[in-house]
Amino acid sequence: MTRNAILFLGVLFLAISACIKDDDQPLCTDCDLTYIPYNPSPFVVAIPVDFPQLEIPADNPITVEGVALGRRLFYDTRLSADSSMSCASCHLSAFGFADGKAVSTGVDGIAGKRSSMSLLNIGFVTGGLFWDGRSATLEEQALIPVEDPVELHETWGNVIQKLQRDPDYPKWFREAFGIKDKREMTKELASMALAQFERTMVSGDSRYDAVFIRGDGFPTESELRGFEMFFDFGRPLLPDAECAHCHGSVLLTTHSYFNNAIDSVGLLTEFKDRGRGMVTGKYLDNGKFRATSLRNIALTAPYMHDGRFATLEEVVDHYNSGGHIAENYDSNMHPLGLTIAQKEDLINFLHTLTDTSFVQNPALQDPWK
Amino acid sequence: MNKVILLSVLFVLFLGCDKEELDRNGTLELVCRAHWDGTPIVIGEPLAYPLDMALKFYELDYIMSNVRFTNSEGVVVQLKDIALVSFTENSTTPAGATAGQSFTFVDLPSGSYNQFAVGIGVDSVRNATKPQDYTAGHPLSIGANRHWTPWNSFIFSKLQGLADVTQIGSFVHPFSYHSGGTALYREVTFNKDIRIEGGKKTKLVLDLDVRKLLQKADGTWWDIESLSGAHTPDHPAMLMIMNNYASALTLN
Repeated sequence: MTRNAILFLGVLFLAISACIKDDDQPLCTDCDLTYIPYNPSPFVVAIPVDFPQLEIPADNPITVEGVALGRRLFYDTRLSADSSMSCASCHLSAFGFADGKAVSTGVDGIAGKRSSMSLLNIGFVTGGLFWDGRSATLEEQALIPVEDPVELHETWGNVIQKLQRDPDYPKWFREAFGIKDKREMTKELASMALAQFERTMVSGDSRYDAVFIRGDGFPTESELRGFEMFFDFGRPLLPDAECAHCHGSVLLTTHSYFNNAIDSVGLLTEFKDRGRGMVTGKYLDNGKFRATSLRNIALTAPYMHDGRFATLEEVVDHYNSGGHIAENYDSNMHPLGLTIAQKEDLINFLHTLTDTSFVQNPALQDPWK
Repeated sequence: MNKVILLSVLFVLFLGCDKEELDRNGTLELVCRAHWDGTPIVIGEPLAYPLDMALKFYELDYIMSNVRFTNSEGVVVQLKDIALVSFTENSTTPAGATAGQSFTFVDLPSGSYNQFAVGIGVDSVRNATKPQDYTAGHPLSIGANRHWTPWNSFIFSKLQGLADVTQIGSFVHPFSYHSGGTALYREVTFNKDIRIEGGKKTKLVLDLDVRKLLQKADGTWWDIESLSGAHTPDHPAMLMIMNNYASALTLN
């Protein structure tokens, strides 16, 4: 009798323990995703002539399903605290995937301190993302705006819960990454999908590409003069505009960091925004910012890291002036002596860098509309 | 009898392996430094220039390629295809400037070598390539910022900084000398006895006297104040700088 009682109590204890365990890990009746096929298809990104290879992390190959998921996430306002903003709120296709504002404003109405960067050809960027290069990879970068108080001001925990509750996202995560259970949805997978989508944002079909790279057609005289000043071909009577030191290469950027002489400081610690110096801690990096690509530059006003210049004319005027000398400013900066006509030539050349097929590419637009 | 033969074969094999290992396990450390007439160059620190001026360098580097040494029988050992020797990042402190930038080459064949050679810039074959042909991190990739479209060439050497032309400590006069173009590729050869031994590290120091790069063929000095920049490959400043690498580099 006693033995039976002990056995009974033992079984009861085990049953209770099992129940308690279930309470710790809530019942999930619809978590299993294995019934959904997982057959990701490689996504081939079309790379324009003369472009470098797209360097894709081995652990995040681009797939059709991953890009589709990333695109939905990119345009999904549920990534913000009050469901009012998405990544696309500050990266609009009409503005070359920038936002047309001097500095961006987050969900709480708080203005950030820097201008939204264009995502054009972002997959080709090396040497760090953001104006100061603080993120090494797109996967790392994509995690940051969601929790930034001056951006989407949400927690990734909340975002993942919202996505888990959605009737479709678990399926899309399964199709993209092969997760077996919707509790395997993570911020890391979300950022990988966002990175995949961003790597498809390739722009290389501007008038510049047609005329100056592929030799398809002819530039106007003004565009040609602007081109030759931009790259300093040494044509008689045309000054060197010194642009290519920072914006050379087929990508119209060198991915490097420069103090482009926009601020007057005594010591380099006096910069209001120390930029790259905040990341590296190096005195001589203070006041340096990443040189952005000039592709689609006519669409991405205002300019500079803080959006201080409203127009290309203001930008060219700044460089023509030589800017403010500082210890670490780029020594290719000096008064250029461009005439009014030469400044117009330069701006006309910059307009050849506009790629409307990129900003109108249906594959990059909001999938929720 | 069979056992004796087997042991003999094993012994010979063992000796052979050991010899092979000894033959190829030498190490060479090449340290590249920049100085100004004997003073290590610290980025951002003033240096007296002969024309009553002072200079501060903020970007100082060169491309080193086809690094190799040769023994008396003409056997060439390639050490490095290409590398960027950059003092911009490595010489921001006196200690960094003195230490220089180090390259280590391992598994080198033991032996005596009597010639060391280094290319400054890239040869015509390499110069026909473009930055987009290289992956991130390569010394010639887009991010390295070393290609100049009008020359259709990589930039072999950069000297950038600010000059004080008034001797009042006012460094407000920028200068920038970029050199490149296939015709300006230079190879510098040193006749020097170098011993590579298995299991040991041999150290060589390649010192660049940057001051000498700015000395004209007639012994006078380049006028940085009035000719503060040059971009055309046939510019005399570029020719002067690239020609001067041979005398400005010493191997110790």
